[in-house]
Amino acid sequence: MITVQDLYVTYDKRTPALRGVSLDFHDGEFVGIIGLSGSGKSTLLKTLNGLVSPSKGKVFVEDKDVSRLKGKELRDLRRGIGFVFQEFNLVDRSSVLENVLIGRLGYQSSFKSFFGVFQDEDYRLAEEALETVGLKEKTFERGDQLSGGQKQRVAIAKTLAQEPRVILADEPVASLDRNSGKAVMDTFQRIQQKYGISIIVNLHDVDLARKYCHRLVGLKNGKILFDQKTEEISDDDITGLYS
Amino acid sequence: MMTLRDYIAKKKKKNRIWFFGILLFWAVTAYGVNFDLFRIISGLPDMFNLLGRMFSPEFSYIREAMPRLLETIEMALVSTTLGVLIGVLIALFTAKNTTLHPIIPKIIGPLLTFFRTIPNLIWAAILVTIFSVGKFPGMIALTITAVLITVKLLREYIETLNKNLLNGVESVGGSKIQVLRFAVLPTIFEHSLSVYFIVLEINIRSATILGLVGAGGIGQILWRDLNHLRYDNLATLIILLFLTILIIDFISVTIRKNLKKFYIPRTSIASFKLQQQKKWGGIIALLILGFLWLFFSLDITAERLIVGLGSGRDIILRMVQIDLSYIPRLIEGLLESVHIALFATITGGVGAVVLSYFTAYNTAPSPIVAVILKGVVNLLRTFPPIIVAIIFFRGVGPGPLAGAMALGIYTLGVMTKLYSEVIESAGTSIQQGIMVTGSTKLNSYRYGILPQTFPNFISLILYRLESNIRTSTILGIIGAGGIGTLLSTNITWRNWERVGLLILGIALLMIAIEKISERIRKRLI
Repeated sequence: MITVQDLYVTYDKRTPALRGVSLDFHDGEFVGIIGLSGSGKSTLLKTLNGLVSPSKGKVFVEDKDVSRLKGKELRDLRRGIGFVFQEFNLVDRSSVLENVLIGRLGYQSSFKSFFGVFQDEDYRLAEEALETVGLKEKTFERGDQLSGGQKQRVAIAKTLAQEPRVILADEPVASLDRNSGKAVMDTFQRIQQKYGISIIVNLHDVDLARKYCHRLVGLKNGKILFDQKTEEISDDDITGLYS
Repeated sequence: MMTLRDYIAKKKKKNRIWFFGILLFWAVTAYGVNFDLFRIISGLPDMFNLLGRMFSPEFSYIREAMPRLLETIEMALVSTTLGVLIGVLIALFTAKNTTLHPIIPKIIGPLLTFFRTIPNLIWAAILVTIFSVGKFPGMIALTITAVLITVKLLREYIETLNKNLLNGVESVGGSKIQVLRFAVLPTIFEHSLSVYFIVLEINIRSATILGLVGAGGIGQILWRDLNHLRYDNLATLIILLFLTILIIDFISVTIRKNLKKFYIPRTSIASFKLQQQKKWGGIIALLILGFLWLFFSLDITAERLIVGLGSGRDIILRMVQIDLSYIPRLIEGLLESVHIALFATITGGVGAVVLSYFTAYNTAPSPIVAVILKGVVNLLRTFPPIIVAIIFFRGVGPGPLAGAMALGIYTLGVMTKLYSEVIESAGTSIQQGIMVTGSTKLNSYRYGILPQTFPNFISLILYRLESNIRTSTILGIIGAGGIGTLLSTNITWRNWERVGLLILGIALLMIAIEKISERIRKRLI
């Protein structure tokens, strides 16, 4: 479904973040990308939905070359890909419902959505999404009333409202305590099992990655060190990654 | 290495240089504004007499002034509403992180900076000659100010917004307009409301003085009474203005403080949808009402507007051809304005260092003193300086001294309020650290709080200096010295080439002062 071919990304012309990464992601997978900070995990994820453009190489999402997409086409691509940020990126002063409805914006015309007009279907999807992440009772609270873990689950509900085929999550639990982090990972697992949506998640916590992900990609200095099923990965692989 | 003795000698020398430097500087500016203590003292009885009359206003005159007062409030409300609405839109599209195209801020930014340097009384004076005497020119002048202030305040706020917030909407495939509507607008909404009330507080003050150049409102009869030397009527008007400003400030501050409690939670999707519909229904109804109000409150016909626009174009075309032979007078006028501003800033600033000690709760000898002084300080900064200058006319006659004293008093009020708040928020731990050595409160101020907060003080006083220079350029319009006198005569005689030069001169001076003060402030931090 997503194909990455010999990808290079260089910020400010000196330090390369990715140096020749090639891999495939398939439908319904739960993939973890692990590695030290600065290994290129975040960059890799952001090239998949065009938030970062590659300096060399290509990314294909369902046979579309991401780097060639612009304007409406790029927005249509992003609509089909959920993105969960480390810092949640909610609009704190809007209600939880309004935040989830933001996930429907890609399906609206700019003009209609300017007046906040959403269809009944949009509301139904938003409600369902909040139910899936277990926050239905928070629907009408303001974003800034929630705890970090709850905010992240609202952010996941927002991506669910997009009806995506894949959800990308960039260090979704790095700003959370252990228990909230577990709740967030459980939510991802439920989504992957219930809807068959693929989850691609960056993690620096190897234990969490081993517990939840079916396949692990180890990145080191912008290159792939290993790419295997979780049960095939040895402790030596992990040690090699962090040395 | 420096020995202790060297250090002591150097420190003494440094202190002495600073002390005498400031004193000398003050003396120069005092000479520049014809400072004369004897004249002030001998004028005091007359001024107190005028102030005394304010406590026995003539009710018959209040009835006569009432329609004008209501007109003033109307002008402030309409222009603030219109100006803030336009300002929010401009701010959204010109902030670096939310603009539709990166070239837009680069073009509009400097343009707005230039316009901001022109005081709104000057806008009004020019507009009056274009559209004739009345509310209309005043309202346009106030709207322009409202737009400029809103853009400045909001754009800085929007530019501090996190990139993450915008990414959150972009990542779902939202367009730039949707990012503005769903991420930026909800986030800046509260702040915009508070900006609205800040602008309203500024505009109600401006609206009271616009009439001095014939741009409607209570200022027009104020000007008439001033010219007829009807100090009894003036006293009544001034107390009326004072109460109006006080009431509007009170309402505005109360609303601003309670903005946070504005959120009403819903209970079901249906009621949320209903609320959305009601909200938009309400907004559209308000807009229609607002435009109707605007339409009916304008005292201008379509033909007059078209004639005005035509002559406006001619005026601008003439202004652009600046009269360079007028430069010597320009410099003379600017110099006097700068003297007034510097004199007021130094006098008010030094006064504020002393007065703040008695006004901040944590340093004042007793809480009662602090409360009383807080009241006095608020009184001092309520009056627009140009009105206080009128009170000084009674004592020392028209001229730069009246303007300088009025501006000095205003500066004293504003600086004491701001600096005493700095002391209150920074004080206790430093203060205690010195008090435990057995030192007095005064010494804990002198050796603890003052050095600790001095950079804040300098930063505040630099902002004040900028604002004072802006004000000093308009004081001359009523005859209180500075470049304003030249401006108003040349506007009256329609010497637009000279007006163009004067405005350019003011703008350059303002931009230079802003740049210098920005640089000093950066070095302090």
